[in-house]
Amino acid sequence: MPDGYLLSKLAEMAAAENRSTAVTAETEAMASFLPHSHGTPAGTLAKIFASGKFISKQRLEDRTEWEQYIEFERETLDDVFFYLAPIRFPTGAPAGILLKREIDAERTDACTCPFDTGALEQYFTLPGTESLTSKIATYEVPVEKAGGVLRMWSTVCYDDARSYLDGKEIDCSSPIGVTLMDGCDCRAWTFETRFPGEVDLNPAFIEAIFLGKRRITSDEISDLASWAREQNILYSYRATGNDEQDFKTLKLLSRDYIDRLLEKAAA
Amino acid sequence: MTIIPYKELTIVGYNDLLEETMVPTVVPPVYRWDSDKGIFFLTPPFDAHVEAGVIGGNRLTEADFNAAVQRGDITVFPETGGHPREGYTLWIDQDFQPQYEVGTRATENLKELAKDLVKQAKEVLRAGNRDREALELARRAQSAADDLVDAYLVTAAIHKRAGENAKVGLMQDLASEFLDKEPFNNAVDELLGIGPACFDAPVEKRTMKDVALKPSLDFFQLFSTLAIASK
Repeated sequence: MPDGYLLSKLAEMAAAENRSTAVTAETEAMASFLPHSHGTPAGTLAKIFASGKFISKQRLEDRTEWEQYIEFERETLDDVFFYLAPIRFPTGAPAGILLKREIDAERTDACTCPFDTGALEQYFTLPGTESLTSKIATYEVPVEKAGGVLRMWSTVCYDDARSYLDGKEIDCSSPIGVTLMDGCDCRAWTFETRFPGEVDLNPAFIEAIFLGKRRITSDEISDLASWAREQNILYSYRATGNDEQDFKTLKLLSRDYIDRLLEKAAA
Repeated sequence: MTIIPYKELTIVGYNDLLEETMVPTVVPPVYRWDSDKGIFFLTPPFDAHVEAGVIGGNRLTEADFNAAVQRGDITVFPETGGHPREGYTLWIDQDFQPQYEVGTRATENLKELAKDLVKQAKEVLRAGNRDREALELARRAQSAADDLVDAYLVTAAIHKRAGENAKVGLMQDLASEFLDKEPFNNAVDELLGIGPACFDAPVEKRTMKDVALKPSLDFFQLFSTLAIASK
């Protein structure tokens, strides 16, 4: 899974549609510093923290269940999933975590794909008759190469590279031939990083933790919040009680954090 | 943009795992979707609930839904509920019973419950030797409404008495949009009986709408029709 194929597809598309390939300080910052994100209910995040690591579904679930999961067919059942983006899908009462890109050097076994693999053939399709695993393998790159691909992707595919951070649809034809299905969303154009097996929660790699104030009401979540505050990485927010609004608040909070991080890096 | 009609959706649970100290509170609903392509489950985040139905959401197969339930990410109601409605809010009461009512009314009811809980928490705190009970009441109040400064004060007081200074600081931070650090600490000391003798009760910095609890029997009845009826 070299990065050359994806970069060549981007170059082809840029030439065909006369897209700019001029890299800016902003896209450089994004390539190097955009964190990996994971959204989950606060209670789940606290339990993950208490255990010290994220664990793949395969290691958590009963073997008899495996074949029924969408990850089974994609051979990603033993992976831990993050987005290389602001928090995008915080299912449940929203909480989230950002991991620093320094983890890429430590976890060279991880890989990144320019789409959400779980959404492939659920929300969008790719050309060809190969298996799902072949299609995924065609486009995934080692995580340490992800920055280079993201740099060109955000430059070529968007009129304004910041649109990637907003989760907007790309402004050109898909370089990899994505066709959207009914109900598709940013999963078709958001980078996904998969860490095999487990992800140790080494405090050195934690960029930020986001929790709703309404959920800092159990011992475990309170322990997590207290620890994160001491590390100066806690970002809490008030929930409105409207779950749509609260998801938006969390996403905006993580986006604001990332904007500041990238501005600092680009300066 | 696809709109999934409400009539194809049924409320089956919520996307969270709550402990006793985390109710009453608002929860994000999970829907079963009886589509023409089979049965799926829709979890948040939804883009919107509009008049015609739901936009967005994360579609799960039955196996993935069951896995999420097993992991504790999703809590399923013992009995299947009714169809969702635009502008309605799902919340879980102190007995872990689902309530489904117009959003503004849910907020009002939760605020009133929070006020009552924090009042109880202060009484228990002052009684002494029942700090765990007071902490649980204050946490329940915070779960119901995260804009009641007294809930943070009671929790901070209990942590201070236990020597948990990091958690006192956490509460101070969480309440910082309502009360500055010094008056917050003074109010905590006052709750513990070690503050200034003539301390005035803290005034919340924000003007918050203080609305009376309005009868919502019609909505509770509605939910019992919608949510408790078994399929």
